[in-house]
Amino acid sequence: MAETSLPGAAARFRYGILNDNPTYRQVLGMCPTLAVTATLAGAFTMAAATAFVLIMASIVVSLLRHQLKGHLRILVFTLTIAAFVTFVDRFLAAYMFPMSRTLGPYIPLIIVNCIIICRCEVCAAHQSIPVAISDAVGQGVGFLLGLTSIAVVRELLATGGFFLNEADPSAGFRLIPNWPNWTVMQGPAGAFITLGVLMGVVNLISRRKRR
Amino acid sequence: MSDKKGFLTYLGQAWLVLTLSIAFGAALAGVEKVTRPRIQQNIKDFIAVRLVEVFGAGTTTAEPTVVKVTINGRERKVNGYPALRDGKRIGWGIEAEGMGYDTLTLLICTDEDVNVLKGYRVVIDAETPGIGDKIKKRKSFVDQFAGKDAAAELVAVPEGSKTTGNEVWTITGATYSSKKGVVGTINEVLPAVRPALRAAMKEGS
Repeated sequence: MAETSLPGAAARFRYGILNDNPTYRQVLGMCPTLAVTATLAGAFTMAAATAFVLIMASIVVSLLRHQLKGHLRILVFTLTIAAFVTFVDRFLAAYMFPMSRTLGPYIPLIIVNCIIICRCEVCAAHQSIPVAISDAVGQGVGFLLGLTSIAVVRELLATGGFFLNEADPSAGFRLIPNWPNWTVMQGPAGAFITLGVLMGVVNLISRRKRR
Repeated sequence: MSDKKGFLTYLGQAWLVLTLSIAFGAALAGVEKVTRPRIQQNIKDFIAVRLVEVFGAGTTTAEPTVVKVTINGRERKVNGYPALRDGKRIGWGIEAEGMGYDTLTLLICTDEDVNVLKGYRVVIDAETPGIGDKIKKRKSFVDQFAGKDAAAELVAVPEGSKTTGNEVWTITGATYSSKKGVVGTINEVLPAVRPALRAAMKEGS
């Protein structure tokens, strides 16, 4: 496919945030979307880790795009992604130990996050490094918006505030005094409900805009 | 196609994968070398904080004594972290893997001879927030283990029951996590670890 017939850097960036938002439009990366959005801190860290891997993998794949052989390309993508995920996992365990414990197996699971392999296949394997970076940053920001929007709703309804810590009463800030914590929002049911409602809202806004 | 020619064809096709594997392998070895000491220190600090919670202020720890034991027919390596006060061992923090709602790692604290339970702390868990995670958040449940006989089996009774001897009550709504996860893991691990830790102490570990 000729590179000129594909979207440019600015369009790729914009698509990643809005039209092709990984969470609300492509519905990719659902495992971390549902699993780590109980808290804003967890969602933010997961999105940052995924964005880092996405950007680095896109750079490497774009750099090697002329050497890729059709039947071996997925192997190259996976190898590249796995290397950067291992780097992120070790970095978090070394320098952000409590968060590494909180996110547990979901950081290594970034290896099988469809968003990254999808962007390598759709963009980085066919386009130049600046376009690949722009695409990865756009998708990373889009994923960040997706995860944090869900986390904001879940954490607020589950605890009445943000960054609250039972062991340290001075931590975080309470937005709703005397809120009867909705425990269900911390669990899988809360994740599915929030994602469904927010996706409905996004669809509603999109449909109104199209009219 | 001869075998040699076939091998060279495969090699020619896979050169990129092989080169990347070597390059990433070397890079990750470097990352591991830089981060490993820090990660090990983080784990040790984490265990040390849990030991202070159970044994009191001034408690420190050192390199764990690793014992090989057989639990449920499976050979496992178990870390016994010494709880030290003024350089003298006053107890153990035994890192025990069990099964609650999901895989669970506990730090079971005992006296030096592994005869008296001092308490437990959850090290790693994937329990459901608000339900199974009460095994680490509900203080009255956690506190009841201190002083129990570590040489005898703990007996789980329903919440609200009056407990005597080695009985402990389990949490209604989180029965699986509290009964199988906590009580079950302690009952499984301590009988296997006790002789091994005592033997290690005799050898001077």
